[in-house]
This record gives sequence, structure tokens and C-alpha cells, in this order.
Amino acid sequence: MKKAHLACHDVSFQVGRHLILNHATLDLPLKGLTILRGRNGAGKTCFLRALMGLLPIQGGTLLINNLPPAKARHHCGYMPQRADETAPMLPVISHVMACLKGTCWGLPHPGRTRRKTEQLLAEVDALPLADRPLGVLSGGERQRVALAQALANSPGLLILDEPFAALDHKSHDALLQLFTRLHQQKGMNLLITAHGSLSTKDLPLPVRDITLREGALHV
Amino acid sequence: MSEPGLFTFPFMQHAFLGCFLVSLLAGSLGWFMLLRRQAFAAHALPHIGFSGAAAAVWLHLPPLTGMMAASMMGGLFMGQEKQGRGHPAQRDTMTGLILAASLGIGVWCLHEANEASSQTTTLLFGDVLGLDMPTLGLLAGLVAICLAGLAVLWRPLLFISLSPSLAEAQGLSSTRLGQLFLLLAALASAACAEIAGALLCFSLMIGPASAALKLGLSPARGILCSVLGALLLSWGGLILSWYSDIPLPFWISLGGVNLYLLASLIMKRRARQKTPLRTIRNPSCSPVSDGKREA
Repeated sequence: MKKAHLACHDVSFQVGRHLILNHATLDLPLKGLTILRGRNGAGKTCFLRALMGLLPIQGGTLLINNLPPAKARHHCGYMPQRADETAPMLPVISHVMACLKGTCWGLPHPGRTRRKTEQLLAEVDALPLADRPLGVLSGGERQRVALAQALANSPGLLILDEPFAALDHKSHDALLQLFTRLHQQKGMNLLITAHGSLSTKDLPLPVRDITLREGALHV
Repeated sequence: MSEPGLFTFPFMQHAFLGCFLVSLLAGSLGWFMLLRRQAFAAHALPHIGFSGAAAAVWLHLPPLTGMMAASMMGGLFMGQEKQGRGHPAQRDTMTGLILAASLGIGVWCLHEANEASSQTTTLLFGDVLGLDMPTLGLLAGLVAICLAGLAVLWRPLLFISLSPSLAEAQGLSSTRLGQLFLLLAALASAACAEIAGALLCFSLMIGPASAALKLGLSPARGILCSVLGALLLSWGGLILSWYSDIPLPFWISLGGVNLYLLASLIMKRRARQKTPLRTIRNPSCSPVSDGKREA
């Protein structure tokens, strides 16, 4: 089982004039599924972006696995709330292949990369979508492809922003089952944001809620 | 006596070789430029290069040197892009401003040079039939540099072009990669301008690449298709201009549009084959409706 740990020490974080964390402190093992909750506009997305090193914090220390976000992000998979739609005409498999070791220089090994990509797509039940253009997928299908992209490079921690948005009830359950599978089979831990109710009671993995409220993180 | 063939003359042999070299660049870099929604940059770079070439003419330097220097500088400035909500519009504004400024400087340089109208015409419309061996050597060098650079940049460039949010979350810098890519594109556009001229060289970069993207091919196949398209346009254009006495850029630009139309037709046909027309069936012939009626 991979280990993931979140530590905030006296963190002050604001975006523009919007204060998100005000000297917040939290020390929390991210085991299983951790759900970050908060009202609309509380700053959940911004907090996740700060964890990925995309937004700077103004004060304090923010650590994932005892590493600052800029270093820890190489071991994290990230799925933004709105997936990129820059090249909708290209097939799904090309989009996922581009994420595999995408930060390395040079040309990839085509055969090996394709096999690994097909494995990733199979893990999220999206292999039949491999040759379809990204732009024709439904919301749920696009979500699964985005998850495959986040899973590239075998991260220890998956950070998913509103993965249940635009999904129907059946797809909710399927996604929760997939989270369970990822945790049990691959040892991955998940930190997700959600503002609706989730039926996580019967899930065979540890589930914990954190709430972002009035500049503090409440467990 | 029979008319001499196309390949009898060394200048035509050079022209075909030059077109081959330039097609390698135009096809590959053009594909990436369109993927990154930088068609305007593809149009602007050779024009910016034209101003540099005009300055080189004034300073009695080789025009190609000035063209490369100016387009690379333009590429660096245009690459100062930041991801954000207004990103494409900001980038186009930046490109437009740099283009306007460089054209102004170019006009001034030509005015000061005051002697090189034939050279100016060559720069604007290209001189594929005037390629000599040293120029071909220089073109080959440029092609090698650009393709090697593209191979090195391949993975991060593709990653940030297809999934910018994920790539930035993994620590890639869109500004630095954008600048590196535009440096390569600037070199490529200077090389293409030797063949098709500053006015129309972007048509060789855009036409085949747009057709390849329309076909929805994977990156490697798309680039191969784009290179072959560029080769078809430039070699086909050479043959047609030999027989028709119409300049090569005319055939290249028109051919680019036709390639795109052909790709659109292919895609429409494919879509029609995948989703066959549903015929309205007579309810009395439908087993389901029969069953329902019986029930």
C-alpha cells in the first residue's frame, strides 16, 4: 500500500482578494479516500491547485509526503475539474499516450507506450474508446479518459477535482467501485473534492471527510 | 526535336531537392502549429522574417541570415505566453503587435536600402528555381537542426499541447516550451520562405497540416500525412508551374485548400458509413410494434 500524507503548518493562502486558508494547520494521513468538502466558492479547487504547485501559498508550510508541492507533484496524479479540450479531433489513445512520461525529453518507444496506454484505458473501462476522437465523448466517458490520464506514471496519490460532477447515479457508483479497485489493487490513495452526498458507507476502503470552512480545514 | 524534360536542368533538380527538404519541415512543424492553434503565428513569422531580410539587404548581408534572425526574435517574443482564461486572445494580440512593428521596420529598411527591388520581390514570392548548391546545403542544415530539435521536444511539447493543465501540474513551463517551439518554427518558416516566399510560405505549413488534423490521425501518422501532403503540394506545384508558367506559390496555396476539402470529404464519408441512415419503417412491418399491438 502506498503512503500519502498531507501536512499544513500555519498556512495562509489567498487567490486575489479571496482568503482561502488563514493560518491553517492540519496533519493528516491520506489513506484510502479523502473527500474535501466545502460550499461553492470556498476554495476547494484552488487548494488542490496549491497542492499541485500551480498556485503559490503566501505563508506557512504545505507538504505532501514531507515534500513541497513542486517536488511532490511528480508522485501525484491530477484531474482538473474541467478537462482540457485543446485537440478534440485526435483519438483518445493519443491524449493518454502524451501523458505517459510526458515530462521527459525525446521520442517515446511507440510499442511500449501504446501497450501501457491500453492497460491504463482498460483499468478505467475506457479501452473501447481508444480510437474515438476525444471531442465526441460524453461527460462520463471524458471523465474516465481524464482518470486514465491522471493514472499515467503510477502515482501514489490521486488528486481529483469534482470527479462526480456531471455524472448520473449509476456512473457515481461505478466510479466509487473504480476508486476501491485502485486502492486495493494498486495501493493508490485518493484526495477528491465533492459537494454533493456520496454513498461511501459500504465501500471497503477507508473514507475520511475534510471540510474547508472559514479559512480553516476541519477533519 | 523533343522538348527537354523536367529533370534535364540542374535548377529543376535543385528545386525538387529544395522542395523535399522544406516539405519535411513544413509538414512536421506546421502540424504542431495548428495543433497549438498558432495559425496566425505561422502567418506572422515569415512576414517578420521578411523585415529582417529587408534589413539584411540594407546592411549588405545575406537576406536568409536576416530572415532567420528576425523571425527567431519574433518567435521568442511571441512565445511569452501564459496559460489563463484570455490566453489565445492575448497570444494573438502579442503576435499582431510584433507583426505590425516588424513590418513597419521592414518598410523603413527597404526605403533606406533603396536599390534592391528584385531582391525584395524574391523574398516576397520565393525563388525556388534560383536555388544553388550552397543554399541547398544551408537548407539541409536548417532541416536537420529543426527536426532534431523537434525530436528532443517531442514528448513535453505534445503533452503541453494536448493537456496543458496536466502538463503544468507536472511542472512543465508553457512559456519556455512555447518559446523553444517558436524558435524552431521561426527557423522553419525562414527555410520555407526560400521556396514559397514570405507571402505564401505559411500556406505550405498550414494546408497539409490542416488536412492531416481534419483526418483525426494520431500525432505520428498526422505528421507523416502532413509531410506527404506538403511534398505533394510542392512537387506537384513545381510540375504544374513548369507546364503552366504560373508561379509555384499559386499552386501550393490552392493545393492546400483542396487538400483540406478532400480531407473533409473523406471524414464526411466515414461518418456516413459509421451511422447509416435510419429508414422510417412501416409500423405494420415492425415486429416490436406488432408485438406491442398484440399485447
